[in-house]
Amino acid sequence: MMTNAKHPALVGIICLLFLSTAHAQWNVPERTQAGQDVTIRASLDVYVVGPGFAAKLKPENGSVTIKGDQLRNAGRYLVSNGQNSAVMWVEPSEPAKLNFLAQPSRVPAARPGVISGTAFVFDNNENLVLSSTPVKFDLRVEGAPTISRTVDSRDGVAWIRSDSSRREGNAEFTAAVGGIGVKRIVRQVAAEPCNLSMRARPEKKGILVETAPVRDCSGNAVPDGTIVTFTQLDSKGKTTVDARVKKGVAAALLPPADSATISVASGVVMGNEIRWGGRQ
Amino acid sequence: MNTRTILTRIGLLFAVAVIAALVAGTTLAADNAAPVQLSIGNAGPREVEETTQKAIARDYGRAWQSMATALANSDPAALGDDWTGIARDKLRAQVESQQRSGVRTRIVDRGHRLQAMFYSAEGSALQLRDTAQIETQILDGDDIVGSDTATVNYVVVMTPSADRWQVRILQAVPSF
Amino acid sequence: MNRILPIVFAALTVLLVVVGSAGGGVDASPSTPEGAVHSMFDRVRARDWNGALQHVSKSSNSTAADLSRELGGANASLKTYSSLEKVETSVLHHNDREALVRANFQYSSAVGALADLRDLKVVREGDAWKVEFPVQKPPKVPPQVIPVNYLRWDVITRGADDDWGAQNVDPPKIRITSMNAVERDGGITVLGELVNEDTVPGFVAVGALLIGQNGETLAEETAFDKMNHTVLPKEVTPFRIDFPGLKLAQVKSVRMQPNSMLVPASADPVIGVLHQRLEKDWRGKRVLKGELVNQSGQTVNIPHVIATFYDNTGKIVWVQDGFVSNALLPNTPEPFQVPVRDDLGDNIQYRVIVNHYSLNRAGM
Repeated sequence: MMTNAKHPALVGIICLLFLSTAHAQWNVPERTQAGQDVTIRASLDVYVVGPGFAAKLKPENGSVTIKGDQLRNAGRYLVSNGQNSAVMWVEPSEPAKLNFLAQPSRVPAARPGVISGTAFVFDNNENLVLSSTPVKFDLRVEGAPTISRTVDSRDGVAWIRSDSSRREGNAEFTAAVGGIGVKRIVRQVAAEPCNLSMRARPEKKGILVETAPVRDCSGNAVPDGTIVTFTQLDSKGKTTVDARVKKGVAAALLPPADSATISVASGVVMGNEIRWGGRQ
Repeated sequence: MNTRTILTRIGLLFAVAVIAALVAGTTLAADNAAPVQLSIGNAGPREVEETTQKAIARDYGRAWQSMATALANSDPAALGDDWTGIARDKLRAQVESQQRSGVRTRIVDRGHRLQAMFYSAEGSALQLRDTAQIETQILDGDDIVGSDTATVNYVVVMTPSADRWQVRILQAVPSF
Repeated sequence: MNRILPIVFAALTVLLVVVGSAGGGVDASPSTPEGAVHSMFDRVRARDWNGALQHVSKSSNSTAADLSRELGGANASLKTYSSLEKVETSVLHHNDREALVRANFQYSSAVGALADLRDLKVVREGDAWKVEFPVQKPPKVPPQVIPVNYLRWDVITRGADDDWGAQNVDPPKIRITSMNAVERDGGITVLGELVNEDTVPGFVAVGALLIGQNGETLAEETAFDKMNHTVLPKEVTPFRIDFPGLKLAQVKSVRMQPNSMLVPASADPVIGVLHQRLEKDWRGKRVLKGELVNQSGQTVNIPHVIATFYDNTGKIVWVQDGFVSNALLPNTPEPFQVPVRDDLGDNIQYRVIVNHYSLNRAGM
C-alpha cells in the first residue's frame, strides 16, 4: 500500500470502498414474520438481542442463520456485527389463540350491561395479533334468543358488554376468531325478591308465617338459603326471625300473641304487613 | 488576612458545596425510574380512577427498572413481581439466552408517554400504548458491540395483582 | 449471721403467704350472711363443687352437678371458658333468721369481662348461714329426629396454574347501605349497615380510613367483632368501627373499605330473637332485653348478640354487642341483655341479630 503522505486521496477511496463492501454484505431484513428463519450475510460475529432471545452467532460460509424458533416472539430485535447495528422487526403471524375474559362469573337476571367479555387475539407463539381481526361474541341462555355481535379487534383486543337475560340459568358466552373459539359460563341468578308476600295462621305453639314462593320481578325463584326476616310487634316487645328460603318459600314460627303486627323483608326489599288479631 | 478575603473564601466554599449537592442530586435523579406520563382520555369502557392512574405510572416505571436490571446483569430474579404471564416468560427466556451466550443487554430508559386505550369494565385489564425513548446497548463481556437510540412504540397490557399492577404483555410495534 | 438471714426470709415468706390467702376485707366465715355467700363462691372459684355445696341450704335440693352446670357452665358455653374473678356483696335486708344479699359477679373470659347479678336469699341453719341456691333443672330436650336440610355451600376455586382468563368464581357482591360517623367517648365511631346483595354467602370485613384536612391518613381501623362476618344472601349486618382519641373536626372524609370473600357456609342455625324490649336494670340503666331461641337441632355454644339502634329518622346512632354466657339448646329460650347508652335519646328503634360460634360444625 502506498503511504498516506504520498497518496491520501487514494487511501481514502480504498477505505471507503472497503467499508461500503462490508456494508453491502450486511443485509439485515427490516421485517420478518414470527417463526421464520432469517439468514444474514456476515463475515464477523453477529449479535442479536430481542424479546425472548439473545445470541452471538459465528458466521459460516459468509452468513449466519437465525432459526425460526429463536424468532418466535414478535417485537424489535437489535442486530449488530460489532461495527454496524440494525433493527429487525418480527411481526406476529395469523390468529391462532384467544384469551377470553368473561366477567363476572355470576350476574343477576334482567340487568343491562352487566356482562363483560374481553378477547385478546394471539398467534401460535403468544404474540398479540395487532392487525384488526373480527371477533364474534355469542351469549346463549336456554329458552332465550342468542345475543350475537362481531367486533373488530384493536391492538389485539376486542370487547363487548351485554345485558343479562330475564331467565336465570347458565349462560354460554363464547368468543371466536375463524374456527378458534373459547367458551365461558356466566351464571345468571335471580335478582332482588319482588312482590314479597306472606300469610299467617295459628299453630299450637304460636303463629306460623310463610311466604308465597319468593321470586324476582322476572319470575325467577330466589335460591334456597336467602334470608327472609319476619318481624312481630306485640305487647311483649319485638320478635325477629331470620328465616332461610327452603324449596322456594321461607317460614317461621313466631310466639303466640293476641294482637300483633307482622311484617316481612328480604335484604332491602319490604313485603306485606299483617295485623294479627285484627284486619289485614 | 482581612475580613473581605475571609468572606470571599467562605462564599466560594459555599458555592462549591451547593454545586456539588446539585450534581449529586442530578446523579441521584438519574438513578431513579425514568419519567412516565400517562394520559387516559381514550380509555374505556371503564374510567381510570385517580388511584389507578398513579399506580400504573409507578408500577410501569418500576417494571422497566427491574427489566433493565435483569437484562444488564443476566439475573431473572431481578424481575421481581413486576412482570407476569407472557411478558415474564419472554423476559426470562431472554435472560437465559444471555446466560448461555455471554451477551448482555443494557437499556438506558429516557422516559415513557403512556396512553390508556382500554380498561375493562371490571378493572381486570388495562391496555396502553407506550411511546418510549430508549437506548439499547449490546454487551459482549464489558465491550459495547452494538447500540441503538430510538423512539420505540409498545403495546402494553397490565393486570392487577394483590398489591400492584403487573405487566402481562409488552410488545414493540413499528407504529401505532 | 449466715443462718439468721435465711430463717428471717423464710418466716417472711410464710407470713406473706398467710396474709395473701386471707382474702379480702369481708369476713369469709359462714357466721354472717355475707360470709356464707363468700365462702360458697370461694369454693366456686376453685371449682370445688362439693365444697360449695356445703354452704348451700338443703332446702335448695341442689347437687354438686347442678352447681357445676349453673355456675361453671355447660355445653361448651362461654361460661365454661370463663373464670370467676370477683364477687361483691351488699346486704339488702337482714334479720336473725334470714337475709337478702345482692351479689355482683365478675367473670373473665376470652371475649372480655362478663357480669352477673343475683339477689341471694341466705337462711340460718343451726349456727351457720347457708345460701338458698335452687338450681333450675335443665330443660329436657325430648329425644327426636330433626332433619337438617338447610342449604350448605362449598367453594371450588380455579387452580394457581390456570391460564389467564380461565373461569373463576367471584366473591359475593356486598354494598354498604348506610354510614354515619359520630363523636363519642373521646373518639370517632363509624357506624353503618352492609347487605350481601348476592346469591352466595361470604366472609365480609369492613374497614375505614379517616382522611385529614390536608389529605393525610389519620387512622385506619376495622370493625373486628362489632359485626357479623359470615353473611348469607340478602342478610344485613351492622358494623361499628372505633377510632379512639380523634375528633370529627380533624376529619375531611371517611373512605370505607368493604371486602368479601367466598367461604363455605351453612344456612343453619336459625335463631329467633323474641320479646325484645327496652327496660331499666337494677341500677336504673336502660337495657335491651329479650330471649334467644335456637330453632335448629344442634347446640349453639356461644351466641353473640349485636344490636343496632336508630333514631326516629331511621339513621343509625349506635351498635352494641354482648355475649350470652350460656349455650343455646334446641328450642330452649335463653335470656340476653345489652346495655343501651343514655345519650341515644328516648325515641330509638332497634334491630337485633345473632352471630354464633358452634363446635362440631362439619366444615365450618
